[in-house]
Amino acid sequence: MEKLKSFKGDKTWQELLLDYALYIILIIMIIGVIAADPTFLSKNNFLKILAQASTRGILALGVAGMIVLAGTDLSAGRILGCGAAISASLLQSVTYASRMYPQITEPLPMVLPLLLSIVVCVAFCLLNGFGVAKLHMHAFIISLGTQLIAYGALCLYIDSQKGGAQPIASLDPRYIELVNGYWLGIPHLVYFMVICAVIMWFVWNKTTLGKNMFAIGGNPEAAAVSGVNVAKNIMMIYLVAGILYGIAAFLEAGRIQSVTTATGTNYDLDAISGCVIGGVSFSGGVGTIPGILIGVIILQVINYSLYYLGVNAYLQYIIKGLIIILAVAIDVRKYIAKK
Amino acid sequence: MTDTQKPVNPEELEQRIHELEEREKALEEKEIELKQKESAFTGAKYNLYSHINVSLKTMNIVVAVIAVALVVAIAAGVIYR
Repeated sequence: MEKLKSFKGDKTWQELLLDYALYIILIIMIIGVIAADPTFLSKNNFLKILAQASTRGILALGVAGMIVLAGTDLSAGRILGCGAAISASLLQSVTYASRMYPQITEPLPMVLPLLLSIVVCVAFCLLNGFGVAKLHMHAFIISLGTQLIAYGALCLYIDSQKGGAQPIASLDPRYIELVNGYWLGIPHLVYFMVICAVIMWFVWNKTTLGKNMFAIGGNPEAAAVSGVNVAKNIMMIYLVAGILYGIAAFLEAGRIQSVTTATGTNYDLDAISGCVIGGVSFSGGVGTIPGILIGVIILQVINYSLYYLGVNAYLQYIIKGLIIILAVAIDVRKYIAKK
Repeated sequence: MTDTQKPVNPEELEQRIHELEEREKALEEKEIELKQKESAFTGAKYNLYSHINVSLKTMNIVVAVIAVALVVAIAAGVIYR
């Protein structure tokens, strides 16, 4: 009873219900899916959901930094598409006749496409970072522009193939094994996500950059007065995000095994939704790494549940949109209640 | 006769006055700078939600309405699959 009281605090049940409305609805929905089909709870399904959530999770770790800075990134998905196209094109099977680079006759070391993917993603992110940090543009606007630039670049790159715009497929078996393989019964992708999450937890909680990020997100003017180099720190956060996008792009290309101009579409929204569900506040200065991972996994469970239930694909967009709006509305409500 | 009892040289006095004036000017500039910083600190636009001027009651209704809309959308998706 004491525990219940401390959990409730001074809040009424009505307030608790409103604060946790999203989680309550989602849990009821998942229980509904399990009741309709108990096989949903199988280990295979769980691992599949985790593997699918991995690349989006890594992307969300990058986007989360920008949301903590009271901004966002609408270009993350398209930037990921560019990185994925580069990774896939350089790691096509050398025996595939219609490969993008016929001059590559020996399989390339896998670290090279990974590095190139990171470089491309970092370049796009630094463009966003420059707009935000130096030109004081709103992150929504600059990332919207970058989204179009990245999409255009992706289309041009895919269209530059000899046979015209065709999916970049037939990937090197080593690459497919690296990304889609299993170790101790768990997909490699899950390990990659966990490694990235641990590194990001360290960056956020144990480094000056992390502490400055929260300070700038909470109140940039106060951070500047306290001696924090706001512009430099914002650029650094965008740089870290670029590295994470590059890794996510490399892994996503290997996971889907066929990169088209549609690769990465709406991934940014999934990443933003995951962050918001996981408790990263759009007001800035608030967020945790475990929260983000839980948010992304919950979102993936919802996606999978809707797919599992056979819900109309167009209606799925409406449901996802409502989830984002509800998450933000609850965030605003908490802010007003605190004020 | 000690140094303090020496008669004051008018040139020295003028230089001293000039120095004091400069120091006063520097102090004034510093004060203005500090005031500017203070106003930036207290008058800062804290975050994205700072401009929101809605009562908690209204926000409760908004959250409840969106939650109901989400439930309806999920129910519709399950019924009309």
